[in-house]
Amino acid sequence: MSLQELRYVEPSPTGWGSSFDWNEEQSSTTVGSRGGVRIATIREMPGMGWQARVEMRLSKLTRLRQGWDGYDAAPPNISVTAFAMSVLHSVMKPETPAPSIVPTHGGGVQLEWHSGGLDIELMIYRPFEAELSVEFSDGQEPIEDERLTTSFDSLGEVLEKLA
Amino acid sequence: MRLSFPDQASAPGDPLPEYAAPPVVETSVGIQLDGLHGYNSLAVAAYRSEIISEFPLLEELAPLDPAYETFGPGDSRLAQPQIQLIAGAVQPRFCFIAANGSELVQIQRDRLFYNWRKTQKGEAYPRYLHVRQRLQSQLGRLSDWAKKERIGEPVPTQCEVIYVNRIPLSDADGNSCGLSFIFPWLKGLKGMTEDGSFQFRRRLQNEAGEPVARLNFNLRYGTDEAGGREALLQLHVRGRPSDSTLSGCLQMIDAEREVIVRTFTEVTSEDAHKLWERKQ
Repeated sequence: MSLQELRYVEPSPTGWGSSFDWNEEQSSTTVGSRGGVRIATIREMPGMGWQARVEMRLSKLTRLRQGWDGYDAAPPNISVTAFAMSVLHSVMKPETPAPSIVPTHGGGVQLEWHSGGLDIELMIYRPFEAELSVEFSDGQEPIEDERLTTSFDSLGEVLEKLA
Repeated sequence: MRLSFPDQASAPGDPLPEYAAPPVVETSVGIQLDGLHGYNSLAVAAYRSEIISEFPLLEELAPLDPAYETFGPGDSRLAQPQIQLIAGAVQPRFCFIAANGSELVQIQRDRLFYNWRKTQKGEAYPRYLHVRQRLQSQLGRLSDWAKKERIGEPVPTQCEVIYVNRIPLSDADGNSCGLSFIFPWLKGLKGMTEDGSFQFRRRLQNEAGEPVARLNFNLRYGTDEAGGREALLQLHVRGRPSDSTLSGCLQMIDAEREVIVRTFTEVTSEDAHKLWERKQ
């Protein structure tokens, strides 16, 4: 949070892909930059990589209303969705399939991959509080509720099989 | 609490280098936090009223996005462009600034930082202990304020230290010198470049060998406003504290600052250390 123009936030958006449409009149998911200065929409397009798909989904989830589950569930907190993106950047390859993402009652998110004979679930309760479960169709010993905080090497290893 | 690189050169207990006249022009120390679910701008007004005598000036800036240091096999891939997610009302980052401009407190829903910066009057760097004490005081205030305003309980998730050094590219006699006079590892660079930048990240691990933090190194150089050559070296460490207590955060910040001081010394030359009056 230095005030000298150099600021270490995440990698800056230097090269927007062709799937981004800066016309906010058009439909799909609206996202934008800090301060709400720049607003963009993203349209789902064939060949779109995991990153854009995940960002669309997370952006939608943060807009859920309070009580989205018919009870009193809160929408996922932006700190949870930002942490989820950070984790994915640590483990995903460009060709890794995007996970399905579902909100949880407690304001967290669950990331799921079900393909290649693998059932992978990463539950993120809040930043640095996550649990990994993996089931293998080949009879390999499953991973059950492995607690993960800063290092996501074990998730990266199983995702390697999907890339 | 000790942070180290997997290939750390220094050993535990090695004395920390010290400089009488370091080229630091700004330091920023603070935390990212979670848990202030009821945060709102009116509550911040109450925070401000407690420190307004020390920090009478106000600035509003765009909020910074949450940023976390996580680790996995994909970390070293080239950065992908990212889109920032917007959720709910965008609340500003408030800067409460001392009358002379040299100290400020920055607060937003998920961050609290204390900054010292050199102003045109050229105050000497007040040293780390002063900066640490100022942050400690604000962190204590944050908890009390959150409780009083009933906006939640702050839970620190990341601790950060940033040092910005402005380094004139000149020798002890004031004659201009090349970059490699200050940064000897750049010796292979042939010819004079107009400007440039160099950056890298390194993992840092705790005593148990777990990756918990990252050093971000950023060196830029070019011509300053007066036409002289200078380099701007920013060293930034961000990581997860071992626990969410005030003392846990301060221990992490101490460890991060130690990494910065050692890195600064390792990447700069002995000739430069003489300019900055290295004491040990």
